[in-house]
Amino acid sequence: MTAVSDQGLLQQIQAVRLAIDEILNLLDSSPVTPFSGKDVAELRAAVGELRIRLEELDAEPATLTVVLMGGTGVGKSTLLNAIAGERIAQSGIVRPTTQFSTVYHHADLKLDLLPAPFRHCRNIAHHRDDLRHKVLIDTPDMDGSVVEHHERLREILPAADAVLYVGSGEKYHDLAGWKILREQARSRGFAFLLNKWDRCLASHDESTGTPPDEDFRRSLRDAGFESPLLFRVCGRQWEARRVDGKTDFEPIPDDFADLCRWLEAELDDRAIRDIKARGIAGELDHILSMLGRMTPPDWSRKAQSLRMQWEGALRTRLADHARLLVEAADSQSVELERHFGLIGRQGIGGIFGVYLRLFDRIMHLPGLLLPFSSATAKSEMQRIAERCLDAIPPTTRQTHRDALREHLLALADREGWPIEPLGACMTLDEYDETSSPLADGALSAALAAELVSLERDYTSPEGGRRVLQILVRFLCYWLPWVVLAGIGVSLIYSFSNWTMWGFGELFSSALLLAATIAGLHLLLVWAFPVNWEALRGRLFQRLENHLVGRLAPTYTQALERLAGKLSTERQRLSGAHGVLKGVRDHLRRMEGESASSLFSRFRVDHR
Amino acid sequence: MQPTIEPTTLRNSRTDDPVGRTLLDDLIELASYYRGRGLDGCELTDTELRFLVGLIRYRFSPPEGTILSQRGHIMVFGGAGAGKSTTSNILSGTECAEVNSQAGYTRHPTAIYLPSDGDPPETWPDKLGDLRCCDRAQPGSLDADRFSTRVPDSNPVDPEFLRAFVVWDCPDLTTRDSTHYVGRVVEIAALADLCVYVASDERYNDELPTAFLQAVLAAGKPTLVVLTKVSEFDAEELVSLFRQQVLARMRCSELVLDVYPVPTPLRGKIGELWTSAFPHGARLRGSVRESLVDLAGVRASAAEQAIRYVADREDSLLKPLASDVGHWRAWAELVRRSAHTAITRYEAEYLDRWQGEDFSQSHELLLRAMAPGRANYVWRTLEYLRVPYRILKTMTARYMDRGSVGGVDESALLESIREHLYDSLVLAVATRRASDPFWEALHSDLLKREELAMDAVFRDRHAQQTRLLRSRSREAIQKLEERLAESAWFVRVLQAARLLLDVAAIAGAIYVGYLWSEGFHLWIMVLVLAAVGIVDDLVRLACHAVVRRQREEIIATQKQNIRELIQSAYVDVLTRLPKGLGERLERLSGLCSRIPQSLRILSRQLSAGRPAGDSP
Repeated sequence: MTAVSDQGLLQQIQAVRLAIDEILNLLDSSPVTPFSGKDVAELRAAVGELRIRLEELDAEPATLTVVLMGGTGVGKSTLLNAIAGERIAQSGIVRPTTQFSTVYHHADLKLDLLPAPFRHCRNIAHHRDDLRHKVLIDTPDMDGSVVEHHERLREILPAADAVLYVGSGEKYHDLAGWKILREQARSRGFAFLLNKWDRCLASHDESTGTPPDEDFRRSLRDAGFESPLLFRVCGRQWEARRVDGKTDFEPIPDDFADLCRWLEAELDDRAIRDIKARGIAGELDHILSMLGRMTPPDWSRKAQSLRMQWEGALRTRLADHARLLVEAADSQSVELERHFGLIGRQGIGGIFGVYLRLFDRIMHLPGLLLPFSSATAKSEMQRIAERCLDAIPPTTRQTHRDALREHLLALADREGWPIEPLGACMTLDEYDETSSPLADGALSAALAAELVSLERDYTSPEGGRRVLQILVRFLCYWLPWVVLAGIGVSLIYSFSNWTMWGFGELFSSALLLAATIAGLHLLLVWAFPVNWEALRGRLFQRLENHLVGRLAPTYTQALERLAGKLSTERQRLSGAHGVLKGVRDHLRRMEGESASSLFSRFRVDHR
Repeated sequence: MQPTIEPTTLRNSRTDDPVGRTLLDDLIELASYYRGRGLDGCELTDTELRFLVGLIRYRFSPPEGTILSQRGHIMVFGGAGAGKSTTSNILSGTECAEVNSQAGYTRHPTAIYLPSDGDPPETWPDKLGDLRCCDRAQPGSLDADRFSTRVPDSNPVDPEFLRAFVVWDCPDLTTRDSTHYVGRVVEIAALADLCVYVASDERYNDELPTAFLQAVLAAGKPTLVVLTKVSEFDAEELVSLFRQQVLARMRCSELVLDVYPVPTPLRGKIGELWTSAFPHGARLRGSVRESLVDLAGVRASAAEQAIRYVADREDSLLKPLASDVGHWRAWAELVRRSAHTAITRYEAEYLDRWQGEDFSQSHELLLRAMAPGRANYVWRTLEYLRVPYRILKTMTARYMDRGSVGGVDESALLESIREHLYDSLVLAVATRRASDPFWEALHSDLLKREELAMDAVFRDRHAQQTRLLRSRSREAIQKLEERLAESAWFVRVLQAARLLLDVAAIAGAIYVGYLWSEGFHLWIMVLVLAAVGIVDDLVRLACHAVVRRQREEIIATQKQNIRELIQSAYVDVLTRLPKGLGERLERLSGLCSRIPQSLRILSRQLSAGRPAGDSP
């Protein structure tokens, strides 16, 4: 005969084991879900208790462990002696009397099958068949001034299937016992004994008010026991009668006979099985309610709303960044203008080309002192971009970076996200916290890239501008030649007429050439505007698009990564929850009426 | 045997002690803070706190009510069902306390006494700490903090005893509800001059009652132990067991006057316990009388012990406050640091680069004042001479003057600075959230940003300040203009000096050029042009120096303004968080040093044997 005879249940128990392993694995693997430390500790403790209970199920034949619990001097040991009919536990007037637990069990029971906490106790074997599958344990007190005793009781309790809560007229609802009662009520069968009934009767005769048994019942109902199973007993008289064999006193009427009948006959195998199943169901109830409380909300939906917020914030903040960069580029405006000018005029040869080179030299005469390489456009732009970035003080760069990061995290915090793992996800490199998507390298690369693309657009425009450019180039090359040729022709013509040019003619033709060149220069400036103000606006637009388009996703991806991890953890938890819930429901269905009627019925929903 | 005490001197020596009063006020403030805060997870408990406050209260500043100072007070306490009410009856010699078989029946302390015939009649205080006086006639709720007084209906065995002493029947310390009312017992324990500890055979070594007994002894209260529900045969053994197991482990156990067993009488005779048929009452009363003969002396030594008791618990008493103050200081430091970052950022990103259009105005004003005007031919010639230098300078300047990332929008910058300030604080608090409830409260307060109204205040005040600053710089320019207009002769002198300078420079250039080249060459012209240009620049620089003072002044004002603005709009508001706590902690932080100091002074006074009121 086994506690869990049907195969289905055995399989389910195996599933429970796997589920709690899953939970423990999750808790051990430093989860990103922000569980509170208190919850985790409580859950671990509950899972530990459940493990002990599952272990007990393996024991065969199933034995019911009944623990006698109560304050010092209420008569636990006396009662055990009375029930056993022999002096197995010491009782006396020294408080606290019992120091160690005593296990009272059937001789056939293999002790190593008992749950671990019971194996180290003093044990007394008996040969009574009516108590064959029951183990009675006398425990030390929980309210005396020897604190070690309370701990011994605490060690024993997790392995108990049922508790006989012993109270006396003085101590039936003391604080120390009540605390334990409230904790244990959900997962253990409880029956209550009001010992020293003779004293209660005596003192009640003398005084007024509610009798102790009524008051006890009321307290129990307050604590959540709908129909407390209460035996009023006088352990002393039964110890005297059954152990010492004294009969020379007037019997005091009590419920001891009922208690023995209940213990010996009513708690049959089926009841034992039920009470065990109910204990596990109780533990599962507790674990389920904790899991329900700890299971995080659905982060994927929340991620959507936070992502929207982030995108808005990133757009404005990155525009600020772009503005900062463009302002930094202001400092390099002369170089940029000259660079763009040179690029634009490349390939214009002839007279105008010579003029342009000359003009550039004159205009940038002081610039000759500065290093100016004629390297390829790309590396030149990279160099300029780096110099631009240098124009922003490092602290400013850092502050802007931090401001963005902190703003995003603060937004997440407002939505209840765990910010520490999120902050860790937000770096480019998982192992380097300083690598930000907005690091100097990334910014200068972005600036250089946009300058190059700006240059590309500038040198090879599309559509109408392209035609215009070809036209202007054509004019720039040919017009001076045409003018010069005209002047030459008119000079030859005048030679042919044998007239020498005077100063006036020479001057006016030089003026014509100068005017042509000046006009062409104006045309060039109009067609290829190289002034910084015009470039600046375009650069800002491009930079903004670049930052928002390329760097912003790094942040939102971090969010998605975290949301992914969170939902995985959520799924693992709710998976375990589902399994445990299935088993709990099965156990509840299986649970017969006997267990409920044989022990005090406790309202599960009672807090 | 009447106790010989002089009520007036006793009262005066206690209540006039300023140090004791300060200590009591501080403790009461501390207690009220702890009550609001809750003491979860602390070494200190509500009960202990109440005891400590009570000890100081009844020793240094007892409530008004002559019955407190004139009579000895005896408290009866113990676990539920141990027989406290029975013992109270035995002590007072009459059935006065209600004996009930229900454990934990008594919920309020009851004072049993007989009014004395003295004139004026004795008075009861309205309140003992938080316990309000309540007559039996008014049935109060079980949860209300109150005490009642009762005069026995029937004639007691020893009426003189109840005229000289007050017997307090107290609620139990052990039942499931006792956490709600153990504070009431503690209040009476602090008041009592002598305690009677009641323990039954079942209860004599219980954790909670023995811990309470230990506290009472450590606080210097002489105590009588009554062991109840013992059989005649076990009585002696139980007494010796109690001495061995309980008293031997206790500190201050010399204050236990006697361990007295009260054997249970035969069934039906419990009611006779307090009649003269049993000797217990007389013996207990005798012990009480004997030990309280010198009430003033007992109280003085108890006071000394009480101070020592409180001083021993000083650390655990102040620990929660010290930890809160520590958190609050860390928070204030965080706020200050963030504010500092904000100010530095404003200075670096805006103020240091601020050109200020108004300054160029006053610059121009000065330059214009020095120029004699277009009508002056000499001046016009000079202006032409300056042109080449200026062109050259402009071309060069583009290469010289670089790196000015200018044109920052002030309000946008401030907006971003404020956002950053707020974000960084939210984040810093969020990462500390789990460590202490303080940060949790702070976090939730901080998220209610609109309620804090910091941004609106900042914006309003900043706009106001900007207006003020504008008008001030306008005023400065106006003043300059007025001064120049008023002193025409000074302007003339300036103009003349400037012309003179130019002429001297030209003359110098020609002279130098002539000396070197021994004749007139074209480059003498170049030298002249350079000289004119340089003089012009020097004059500009001089004007600039004058204007710079004005500019620096305004920048300094602006710095100051922003600093004050951030202080008043942010730092002051934020350090007051968590709501209602920040301010209070700032005030309470003084207690951490004041309470130990008062305790030291008091214990020094008491051990020196001087009356407490004498020393400053």
